[in-house]
Amino acid sequence: MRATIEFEECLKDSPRFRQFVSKEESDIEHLEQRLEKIIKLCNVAVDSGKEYVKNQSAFAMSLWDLQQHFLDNKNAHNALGKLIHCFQEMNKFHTILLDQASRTVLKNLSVFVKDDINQVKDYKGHFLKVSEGYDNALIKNAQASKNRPQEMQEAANILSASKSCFQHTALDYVNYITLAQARKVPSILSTLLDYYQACVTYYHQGFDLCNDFDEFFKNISEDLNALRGDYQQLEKAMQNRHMSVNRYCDSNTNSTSNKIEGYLFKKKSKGFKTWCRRWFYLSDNQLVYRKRSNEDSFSVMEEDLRICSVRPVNEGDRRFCFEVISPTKSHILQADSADMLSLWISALQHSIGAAIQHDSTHHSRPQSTNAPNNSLPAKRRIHWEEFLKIPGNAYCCDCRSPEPRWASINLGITLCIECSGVHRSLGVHYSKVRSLTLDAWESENVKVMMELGNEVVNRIYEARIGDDCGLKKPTEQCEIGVREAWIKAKYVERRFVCGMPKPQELLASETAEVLSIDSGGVVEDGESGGSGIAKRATLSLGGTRKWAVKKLRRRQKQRPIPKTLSDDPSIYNTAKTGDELEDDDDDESINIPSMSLSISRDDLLVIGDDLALDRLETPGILGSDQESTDGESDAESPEELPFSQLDANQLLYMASVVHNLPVMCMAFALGADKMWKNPQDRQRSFLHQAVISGSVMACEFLLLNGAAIDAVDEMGYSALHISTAKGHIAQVYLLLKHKAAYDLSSSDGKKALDIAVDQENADIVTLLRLTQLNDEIGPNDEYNGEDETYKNVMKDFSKLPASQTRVLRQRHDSNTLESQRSSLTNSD
Amino acid sequence: MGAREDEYDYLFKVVLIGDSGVGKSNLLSRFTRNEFNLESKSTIGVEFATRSIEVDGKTIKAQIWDTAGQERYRAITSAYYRGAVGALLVYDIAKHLTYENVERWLRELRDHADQNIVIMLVGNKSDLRHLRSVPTDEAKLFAERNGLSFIETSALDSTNVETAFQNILTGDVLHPSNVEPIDVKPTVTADVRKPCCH
Repeated sequence: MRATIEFEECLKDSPRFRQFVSKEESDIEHLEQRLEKIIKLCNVAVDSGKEYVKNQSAFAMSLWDLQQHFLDNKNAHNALGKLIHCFQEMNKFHTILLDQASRTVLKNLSVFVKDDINQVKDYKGHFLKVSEGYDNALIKNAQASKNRPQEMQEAANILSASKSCFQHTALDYVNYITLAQARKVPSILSTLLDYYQACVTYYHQGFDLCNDFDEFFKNISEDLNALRGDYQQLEKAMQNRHMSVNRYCDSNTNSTSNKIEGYLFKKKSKGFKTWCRRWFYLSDNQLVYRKRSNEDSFSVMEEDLRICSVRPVNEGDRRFCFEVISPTKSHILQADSADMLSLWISALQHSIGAAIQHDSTHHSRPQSTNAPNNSLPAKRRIHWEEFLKIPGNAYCCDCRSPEPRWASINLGITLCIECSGVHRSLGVHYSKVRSLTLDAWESENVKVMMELGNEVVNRIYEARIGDDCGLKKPTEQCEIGVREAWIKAKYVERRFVCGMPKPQELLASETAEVLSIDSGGVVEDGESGGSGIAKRATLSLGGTRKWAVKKLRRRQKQRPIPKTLSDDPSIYNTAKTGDELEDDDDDESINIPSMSLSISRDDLLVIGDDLALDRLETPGILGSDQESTDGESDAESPEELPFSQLDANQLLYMASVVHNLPVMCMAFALGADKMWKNPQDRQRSFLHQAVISGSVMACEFLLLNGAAIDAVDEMGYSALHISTAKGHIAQVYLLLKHKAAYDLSSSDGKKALDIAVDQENADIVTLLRLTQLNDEIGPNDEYNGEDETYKNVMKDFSKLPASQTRVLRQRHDSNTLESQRSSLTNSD
Repeated sequence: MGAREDEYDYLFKVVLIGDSGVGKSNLLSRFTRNEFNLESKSTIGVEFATRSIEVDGKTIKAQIWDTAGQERYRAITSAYYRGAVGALLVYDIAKHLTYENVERWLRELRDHADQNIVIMLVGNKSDLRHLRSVPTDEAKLFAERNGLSFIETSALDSTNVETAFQNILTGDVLHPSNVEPIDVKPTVTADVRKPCCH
């Protein structure tokens, strides 16, 4: 250690001493400044280190989040976990290092500054004071006068005391300085050494940690190499991706199979006509589509391809459009290209063809998940072969060819394809032609067919064959001209129609002639036995004075029949709802004694009995009309009218009241005027009468044959008013379907809707309001005049067995109503 | 005015369902005609009204189907749920039974309505504070659990009626995937929401 200064110099207070002191002081001052700077910077370093550690640990936490992403990849999950663990360990080490730094550098150096340096500084003040006192004593001593010995003595004493004090103080000061100077090196160095060691520990810990995981991370990097190789292979494979576009195009346009699926633009049929892209495919003779989004639902566009046709659409702005048409709707679709367009059209046509060929497959259709109630189609699926079981229907009504496949729904007959063509050419006011196999049949049309049939109709339209028959009767192979002439004479000129029923005593011969044809093949029904005109003609002695038309219920569901048909359960599933309701009614009509009573009277001609067929030979597919006429009492005697009032119009009028279709058909054949109103009965039309009778079938028959739907009686009531007032939902439905005017006001200012609201008939209110709403939005849609919802609602009502008239419903409490409703919507 | 009524970009159908007497018809008349009738009669079958609202420059025509709540006035068909993009399921906050029946109505909707229908639970008659028997929180919780939105309204004093319909209609704009998505912001806050960073 360096010798600083001789104590002697201190005692002498020599300039050298003073020089020494001031040099040391400035030295210490210099050191202090440096140390303070170090402490300050070290503080900054520690603080920023802490900040770093904090961020680092946040980083590690975010890595944990990342790890959650790889839950499904176990290896990656594992590796990430270990890596994050390492990062966190390192972070921990760093925290320790920072702690050490603050504990060593900061603490030790501050202590040194505080203890040693500040001690020196403090003592410096003391030293200066003492030094000053000593100086003063010296001055006083020097100033002491020789003359005053006491003063001299005093000054000398003070001087000696302060000198001694100064010397001690100087020595102490030198001591402090020397010690401080001596300690600065070891304390600073040892502090830094400590810090160094902390660093060493830090790195050492890191090294150990890395060693521990060395093996593991080596494995990972090997795996990584493997993965990189996989990736390169994948990349190579993906380079060929554009090839698939070409291949896809080729396969798309070249494919000849009728398995087609893909995107098409679909024009919405609702109020606004937006185009949307949907994935279309064919499934089980249905055209089905779904959205691109991943919802697993689909909608059925066409339920049955067999009744659809496809044609390209050239009108409109868009290219590549085609139209899928079914009897009730039409959809515009757009393909992506001309190729795709022709592909779709040919595939659809192929599928339609295939579907028609295999039309016996009714099962396992996909149900639209969007609309669960679609499962019950609006049109009862009736097996067309059932139509052929109606008497006479197995052969064409006009040329007698076997296996007719067409029908005229307003005449209620079956036709071969050639005759159906001729019927079409007559125009729809004479004959409305439908396909038995391809068209969907509305239940009311089925009822009309059931009630008539070739046998019955030919008794009317071919009653007088041979009379003046200059015409050749058409046969299976005859020329078209023969058919045309015959059909025109039969239905337009009505040349062979039977005569107006007349009192027997007047025209016994003519009636007998007519009946000679009748009795040929037909066995008279036991219950209505004795009612034939033939018998009447022979029995009638007193003379017939009055005429009447009685109710006819012919095509009733017979219980044994289901067995014979059980091989095709689908028919029965759809027909069941109606059947059960008819059962009571069957018994009723069988056990009515009054029927025979009225018949046994000789003075009454019951028109139409000759047209009645044996109930046992009729097929039992569907009860024809009983369901809509439940409330009636069969025991009522039919209204009787004098013969003076017998003409075609009166006959149709009376037949409409009792919904006797064969007689109605006869009245039309006899030339009843569609627009006629009964002047004796409030100016009511046939349709009013049919509505009052409650029969859907009779209404449908009149409407099919051109009766004026909106005719009003003298009160201003239309058929719709009356059916509403009577609560006949099924008839309201039927009338609205035939576009009856719902906003006619009666003479007392009531519209049908007002009546329905007064009667609180929710169903009719709904029907009327919906129809009106549909008409309001209708014009916005150029393709389908009807709103989807409206169609759905109408569908629901068409399913409603007509027996649920308001009369019946009102008797039930709301619980039963609820159950009826649910059974209606759930039954399938 | 009449001509303008017919012009719209979207037509959305909304059904109002819920127990008898909860105020469905008055919600409808408040929204479409700004009318309220204390003595209104039971709805028979179904009634309709329309109103057009502007959302983000597009005109949405709301066709609202107000159905009968009373069982004996309900029509046989359930088809009127089909095609509806939104349903307001209404109960009366002062009649607990009407709230209990909400589940039944939900089932009815699930059975008959389209899958992606937006359902809003509406506690009506919020003006009857002193008679409240359905706590707001309870209904809100129920709505959350069942994935419904929720609001309390009063057709009498107009509280929230506009908002309820507005929400169900604007919610619908984004919802049906068959409509090209358009960005719908509430018109009121459109200015506030302008982007601030470029």
